[in-house]
Amino acid sequence: VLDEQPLYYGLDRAVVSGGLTGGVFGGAGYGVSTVQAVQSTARVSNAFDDLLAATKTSSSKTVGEIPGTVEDAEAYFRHMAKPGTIQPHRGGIEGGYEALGPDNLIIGFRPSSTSGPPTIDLDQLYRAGMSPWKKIKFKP
Amino acid sequence: VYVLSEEEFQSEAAPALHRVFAREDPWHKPFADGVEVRRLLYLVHADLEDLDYPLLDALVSVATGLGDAGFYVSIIERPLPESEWSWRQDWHWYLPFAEVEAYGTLGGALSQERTLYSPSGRWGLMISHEDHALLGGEAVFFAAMREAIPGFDNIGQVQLFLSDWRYYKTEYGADVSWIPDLLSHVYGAELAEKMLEDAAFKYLL
Repeated sequence: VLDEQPLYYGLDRAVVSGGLTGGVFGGAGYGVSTVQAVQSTARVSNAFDDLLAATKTSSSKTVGEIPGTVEDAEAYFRHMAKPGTIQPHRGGIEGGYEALGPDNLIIGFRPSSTSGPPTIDLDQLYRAGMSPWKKIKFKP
Repeated sequence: VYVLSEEEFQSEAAPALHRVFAREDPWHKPFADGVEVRRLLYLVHADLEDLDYPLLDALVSVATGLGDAGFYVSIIERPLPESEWSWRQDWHWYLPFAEVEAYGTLGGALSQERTLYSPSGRWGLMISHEDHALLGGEAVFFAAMREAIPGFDNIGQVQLFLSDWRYYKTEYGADVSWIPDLLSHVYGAELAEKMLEDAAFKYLL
């Protein structure tokens, strides 16, 4: 089971928000490792909303873009994933995962993509009208 | 609709697939030798929606005219034999045209790189993670497709494809070295060269 030790399940929302958005946007300055070390019983449930709010459209209207590292991308992914559902990526993509996300729709994480950056795949959420982007790329 | 096991795919569907595509790889020269017409389409989303034209409807109509009664769908990114995957073990389907709406219900399959292809091997459509698609087939198939959707395969979309990859190169440092070979594979060396020049792409290589 790959998510026996989830990075962000149960973390305090304020801390995670500071960690994620601070890490991504250089605001509060919490690094991923700092966030990993913090424990809380409160389940963070709106990482997806946070991700959408922080994402801008890139060169393609269905591709979102957000500043961040591979660690940020994986953090968002694990934060959005329902506990117990993270699986290796079907395509055998090294370091890639898929999981059930919001509304039990499949989300994916690829540490790198053909176009370069780490990517969160949101195809099902896009088709369900829950995300304006099919994928979100983390721009280094 | 029925699901094919990997063994059934190999015996029943793969021979048709390999008439159009020699390899399941939308990035590196996938077309089989002898495929008469080849085109790159962009942007083509997994569900074949969000296009300015009804691609799936046209495929069904044209393929019906060629004598097909359905098409296969195969996920390119199949798991390694030793990997574990507990959600779904289906990687190949046959969809009769009478049930074509089932294409949109394949769920997670639509998140993967995949190929739609004719049981007769007369046409095939391969769709990548980055929303480019490669369509190949007989000249008669393309003639009918152009009749159904005039201009659907115009090369203007190649310029959009190159524009996006220029962005990926400059913003993300993406590897674009595969693009000239792919375009040459699809359009021939001379036209590919012109496309790259027109898009001011060559300086990136």
